[in-house]
Amino acid sequence: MTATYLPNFSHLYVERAARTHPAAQRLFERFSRARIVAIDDYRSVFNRRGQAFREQKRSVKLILAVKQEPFIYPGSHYAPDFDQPNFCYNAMILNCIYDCEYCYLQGMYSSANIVVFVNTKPFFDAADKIRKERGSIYLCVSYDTDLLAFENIIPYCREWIEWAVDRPDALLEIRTKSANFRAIADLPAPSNVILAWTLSPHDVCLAHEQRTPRLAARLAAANDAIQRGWRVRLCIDPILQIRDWRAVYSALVDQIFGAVAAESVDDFSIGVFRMNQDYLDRIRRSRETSVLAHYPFANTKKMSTYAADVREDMLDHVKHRILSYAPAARVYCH
Amino acid sequence: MIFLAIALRCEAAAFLRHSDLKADQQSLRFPIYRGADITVAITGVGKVRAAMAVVNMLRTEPIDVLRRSVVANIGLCGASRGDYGSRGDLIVINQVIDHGSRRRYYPDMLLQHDLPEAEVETFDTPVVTPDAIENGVVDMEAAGFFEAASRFVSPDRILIVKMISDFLAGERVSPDWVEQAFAAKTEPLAVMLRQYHDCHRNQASSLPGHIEDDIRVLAEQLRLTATQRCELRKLAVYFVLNGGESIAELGETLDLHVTSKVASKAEFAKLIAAMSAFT
Repeated sequence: MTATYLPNFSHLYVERAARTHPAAQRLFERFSRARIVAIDDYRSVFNRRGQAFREQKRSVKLILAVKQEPFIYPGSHYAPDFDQPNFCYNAMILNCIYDCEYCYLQGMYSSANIVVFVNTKPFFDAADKIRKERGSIYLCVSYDTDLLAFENIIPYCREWIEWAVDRPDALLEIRTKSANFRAIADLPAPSNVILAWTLSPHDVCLAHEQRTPRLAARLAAANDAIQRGWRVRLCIDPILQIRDWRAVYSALVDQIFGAVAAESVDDFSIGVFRMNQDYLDRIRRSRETSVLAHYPFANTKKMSTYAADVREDMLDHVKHRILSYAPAARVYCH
Repeated sequence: MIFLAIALRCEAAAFLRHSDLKADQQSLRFPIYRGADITVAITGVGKVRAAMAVVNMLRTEPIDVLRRSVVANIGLCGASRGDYGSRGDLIVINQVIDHGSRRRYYPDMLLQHDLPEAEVETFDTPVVTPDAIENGVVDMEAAGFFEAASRFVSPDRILIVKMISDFLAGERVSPDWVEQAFAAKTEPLAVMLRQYHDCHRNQASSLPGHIEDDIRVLAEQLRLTATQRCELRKLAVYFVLNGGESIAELGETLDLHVTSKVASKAEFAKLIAAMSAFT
């Protein structure tokens, strides 16, 4: 007789300092049957050495914590800035409910459990500080997680959108693979918030993006947002060198523009798989049977990606396909 | 394999009988009992002894055995409150606190079970005052056990189950009571351990033996450096996952009689290119 795994969020590990925050109280109500484990410091759970990421992914726990500084980070060179000045990102949630085979989070974090920082005010204050000091901010709030996927559990997207409404000098990007647009659909669409959907070919979603909504569902959510006046960015990133990748990604582009009017999309972002070399090494150790992870990537300056000629070929192919629908000025390559 | 660390012989006696374990005559200073797929170490009382016994039990086990194993600590505890259960009831531990150092340890709670859960605080001496802790239970081994076990296996493979023996009021517990209490719980404990073990059993190295052999032979023939061998092994995983069956066959196209580093490097580059191109 084999034991079954506990459901996700069967346990809440709660920092003593986090208990009284409204966000924590909300989560206690949301997961009223969860076992509460009182802890002193989230890092003693989250950063433990020797954790088995793949095993933990089978029964993910929530860790509620109070974040200490820093509350905002300069944008990473792995991520595009879309020609925006003062590119920053933050992370009110660490880790993701999805389980994408190529995701850098599984190399960056030693744990598959999800940390939710419940002290939200300092995050907003830090963004305001940069905005005032530098005159503007381009802030990505959903990088080390998928914030919209979490919206029904903790409505941090809503809080950020409401923050952005009366701050025209801020530009917000919320990146997601979620189809959960309905969670924020009641909000008026601010002109300085971009909802950015990462899209992958249907077969890639099935084979390599476990627990994510299918392509059609993401496209439907993006379309819904567009219809309600939201600014939408569509990202084909990472492009993967899978079998018949040319035909697969051509079909993806055609499918996207069959569902979404090109002129209604703010811009398009494309990029091939790229990752910090150390993260990839960790992923290879935990995903011993992943063809994606074990591909013989080229390593340059601690970044693993496809060889230069392969990379150029992949980007050119997808870009040219998009250009048959949208102008070059709205296509960003990384 | 299931590895058990149990402080006292009276706590282990029923388990030794149940699983028909035999004393390991080679391990005299650290009593160990072995069966087909269960090993039990009688650690003695205290966290230092527990840590030493766990290290002694696990240190010679091959990595691929440890990767498929569960390491568990079973023993007595004192409970701070009655709502964790009665004397003789079992508790699964979800947090270990070393009373001395205040270090905390967390076994991953991944699998379903029917027992209550609690944190355990490990003391160096018996606790006989009910207000020594606010919550949870106390013992004398868990922190040392966890510290040692986590050097060998990941926290999802560590399980701690405690039996309530008292409520911190200095109650006397006789060896006979302990043995009988554990005898009554041996079957459910055995089932639980087996379930934990079976959940982890199917994880093994991704490289088949004949590929490992190919790598070893080619590495010797081409006089590869340690770094090159490592690179070859990494690429071999991709090669196998893509359906490749024999690296030796690719090697047949190479000049394996290298006489210089330059020649070795050139042939190695050819091999890498052939394996990378394989789909």
